[in-house]
Amino acid sequence: MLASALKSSSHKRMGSRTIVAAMLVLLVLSASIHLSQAAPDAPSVEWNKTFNGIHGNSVIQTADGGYAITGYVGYQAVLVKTTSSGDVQWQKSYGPEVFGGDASAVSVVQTTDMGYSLFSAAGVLVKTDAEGSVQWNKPLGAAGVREGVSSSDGGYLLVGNSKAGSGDDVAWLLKTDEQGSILWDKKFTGGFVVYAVIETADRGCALAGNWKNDFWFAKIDSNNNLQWSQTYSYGGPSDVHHVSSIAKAKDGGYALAGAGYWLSSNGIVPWMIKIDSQGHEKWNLPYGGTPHNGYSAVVQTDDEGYVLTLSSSAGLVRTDTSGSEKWTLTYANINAQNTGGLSGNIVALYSASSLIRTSDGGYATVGTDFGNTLWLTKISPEPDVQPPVVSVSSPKSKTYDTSDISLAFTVNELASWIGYSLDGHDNVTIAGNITLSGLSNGDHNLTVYVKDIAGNYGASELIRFNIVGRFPVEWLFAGVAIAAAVIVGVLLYFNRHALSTYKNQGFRGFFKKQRVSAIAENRMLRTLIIMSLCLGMVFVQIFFPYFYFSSSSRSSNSTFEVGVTYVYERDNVGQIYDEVSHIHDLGIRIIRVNMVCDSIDAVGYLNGMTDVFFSAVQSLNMHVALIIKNNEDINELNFYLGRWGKYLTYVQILNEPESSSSWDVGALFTDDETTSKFEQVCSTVEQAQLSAQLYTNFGAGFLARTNLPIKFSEKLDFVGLDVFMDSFLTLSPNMVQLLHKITNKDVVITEFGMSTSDDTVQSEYIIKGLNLFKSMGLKGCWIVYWNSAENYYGIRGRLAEKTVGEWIAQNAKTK
Amino acid sequence: MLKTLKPNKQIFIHGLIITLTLVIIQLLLDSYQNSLLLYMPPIGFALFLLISYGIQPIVIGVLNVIILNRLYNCEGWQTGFWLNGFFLLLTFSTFNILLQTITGLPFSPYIAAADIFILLYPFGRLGKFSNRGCKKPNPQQTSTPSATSP
Repeated sequence: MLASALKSSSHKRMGSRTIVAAMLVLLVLSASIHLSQAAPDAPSVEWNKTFNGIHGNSVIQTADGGYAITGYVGYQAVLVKTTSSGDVQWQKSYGPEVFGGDASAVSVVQTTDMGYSLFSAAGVLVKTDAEGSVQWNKPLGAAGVREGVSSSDGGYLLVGNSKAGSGDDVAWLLKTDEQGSILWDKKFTGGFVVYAVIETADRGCALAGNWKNDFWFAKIDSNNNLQWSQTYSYGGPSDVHHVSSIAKAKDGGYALAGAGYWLSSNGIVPWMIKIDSQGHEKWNLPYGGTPHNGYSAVVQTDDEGYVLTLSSSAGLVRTDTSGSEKWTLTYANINAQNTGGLSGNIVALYSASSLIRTSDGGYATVGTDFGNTLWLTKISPEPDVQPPVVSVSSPKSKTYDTSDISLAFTVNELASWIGYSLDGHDNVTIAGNITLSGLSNGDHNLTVYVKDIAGNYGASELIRFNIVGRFPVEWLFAGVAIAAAVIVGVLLYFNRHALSTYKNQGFRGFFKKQRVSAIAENRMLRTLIIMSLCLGMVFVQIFFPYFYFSSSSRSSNSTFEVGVTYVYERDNVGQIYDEVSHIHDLGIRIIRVNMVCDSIDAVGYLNGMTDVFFSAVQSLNMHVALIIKNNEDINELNFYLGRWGKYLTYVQILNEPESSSSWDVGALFTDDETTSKFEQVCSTVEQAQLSAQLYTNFGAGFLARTNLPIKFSEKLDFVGLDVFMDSFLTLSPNMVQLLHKITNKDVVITEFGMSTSDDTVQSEYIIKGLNLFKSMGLKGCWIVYWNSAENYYGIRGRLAEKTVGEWIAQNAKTK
Repeated sequence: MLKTLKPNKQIFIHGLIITLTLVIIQLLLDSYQNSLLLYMPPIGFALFLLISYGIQPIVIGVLNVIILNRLYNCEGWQTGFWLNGFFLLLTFSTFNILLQTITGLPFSPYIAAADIFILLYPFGRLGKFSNRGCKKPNPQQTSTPSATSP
């Protein structure tokens, strides 16, 4: 009985253990399922299309959303045009009579007339119409073409390889115009082999391949000069490496994808290198996940990661920005049936040759299996699992003295719903930036919520702000007025004679001669009246010009130009062209910049950055105003003016006494030093014999140091005035008139802005100023576009940017 | 009231002298302004302010009192010289600023010429209004309200 009871008890314990174990297994399973769901998912294959008998080399997405694929069939080049679903629309073949001896089309680009330009391995550029019919072909006299791309000027860049008489490898680079006429070519002798070329942001180009056994990358500027060339060496002397593909990175650098053939370990490894804009290696990653393979193409993703296609299998590898793997995807089921009968130790069933990003954010690849079947694969965009990022620019976590505060924010992606919660109350749906009106005094907190199109919710950080009552200026004025009335009343009371006269004669008698005389003969009253009139006239002198120019609708001044100050050295080099282009799109044609250069390292990072900037402004036909500090190193200045001086339209020499060594003693004693430094810089600029106009700038402080503008203006073409707060804006007509009077030069507002986190206030101030300056007949006004992310001076990305663009479209000169 | 504003010779003479003086001083200051501002900065600037808003008003104020006493047979003054001159100077410069802002013309010669013609009468009135001494006792001229000195 006892034993039976124990057994029963034991069975029950075992049963409960089994249940617990089962529950644990379920828990672990469910946890693992949950984890796999939470991880960023790989995209899916939307479709695969195969084309028997074609070897594919390259694919592009065409303007109609379809695809154009180049390759070869036997001894004929081929161009296949498909729909966006991969269905063939037409296919054209071209024999050696068109494409030269090696009738293989290595690359294709679509031209502005919707036709195509094909590059043959034999060195022939072939132009077709939109249906693939040959319009013309042009032998370039250079066989061994590896890749051809279009350039932004409508021409083409081609790279390829040949052999020197000594048997050494020679890499060549060739630039043609849009008709295929060679503009220039460049050779790299001594063992260089090139596989890839891209156009860079500065309208130059970059090419990559290998030098002997090392990775190799070279940067060429827009004038066909080699800026720098770099090799990257890994492993032992017998280990071979090469770059197959280049991708421009958003940080201004480049990602290089290729392979390392490590003979010592008898292995081939996919390899990726990230370099900065000057070729310095940031990291390199041999990818051990798929041995006996390499990378054949790389593209950068929106989040600055990378997608790479493996060269010897139908696989994609997705990395983050530091090269760490996020997911892999096998996009084609290629099995032994596709090997064309090859067997044994064959590891590569498939050869991938091209990878592109498609307009929907997905990818398309082209490869060929060993049965000589071309595979076109469309891969979906990556599932959006990231919540939207909401950045609130107003309100800030600070104290406000107004009950109406603008709510301004930005979201990093398209939103399907936006709302905010104030003080923990229910969400209020909004369409965009609004003004929060009638807020009560006291502490408040605010969060903005956004739902993206994929259904992910994002929230801003909690903004805590405080509202306090504004100082009652109106009441102060009313009090002063009442006090003045009381004082006048008291004075009249004590002048009994005059007062009794008013009583006897009534109000009408006030205007009679004897009554006027009675007032006039009162010494104290007369003094009071005269003092009041003086005060009134002082106010008129100060404020009349501002109110006159603000309110008058004078005829428009067609020469008024809006410029901006852009501190490009605080941007990534990759952003500079886009920013300059964006400024151009706003209608702005003048950019004021700091002097950024490095005279020691002519091919250094800073000079490269300035090259990119000037390349951008040249291509967009914009004017540059250069700021030179008056304590600038003369060697640096000579270097800068020698290299970029010819591109300058305006040169500004600062005259700030802060740069004088005696500034600490007191500003009033620094004039001599300020003047001598100014004149030193001025004479250096004059020696450079630039065509640029020379000017300097003054703040409101020039009113106390009027000797400086008088002295400096003798050598200047015009003078600048800086206006950066509301009170200075009100006084600016007076300051402009005085500055013009003492210098006898035109005055331009060369620095204009307001440092405030309130977008609406800044925007209204800027527009008010532009209207005022234009009405005053000034030649222009240069706004602070961007100083840095740490201050609120700039209009970049803010409401004022939009309103300035609209204002320019209606008012200013843009050509 | 209209009677009090009726033009007469004394007012025009008064206005002409004040306006001409102000115009001449303004032209002189404009000519020497930059030389003054460049003189031992910031001492030149201080001198310029002293002359513009210290000495000039006193000169104008004294001149106004002299004219009043001579033209209207008065003695003494009610308003201080500086305040009197400052008032006239401010009136003059305010008018000039209004004109220069609206027309965009420089002071010399356009606004200066306009000043002489336009401000002649108003400054005769203002000069009289802004200061006034006591009438000199003159028993031989009991019927004349304000005898003019030769």
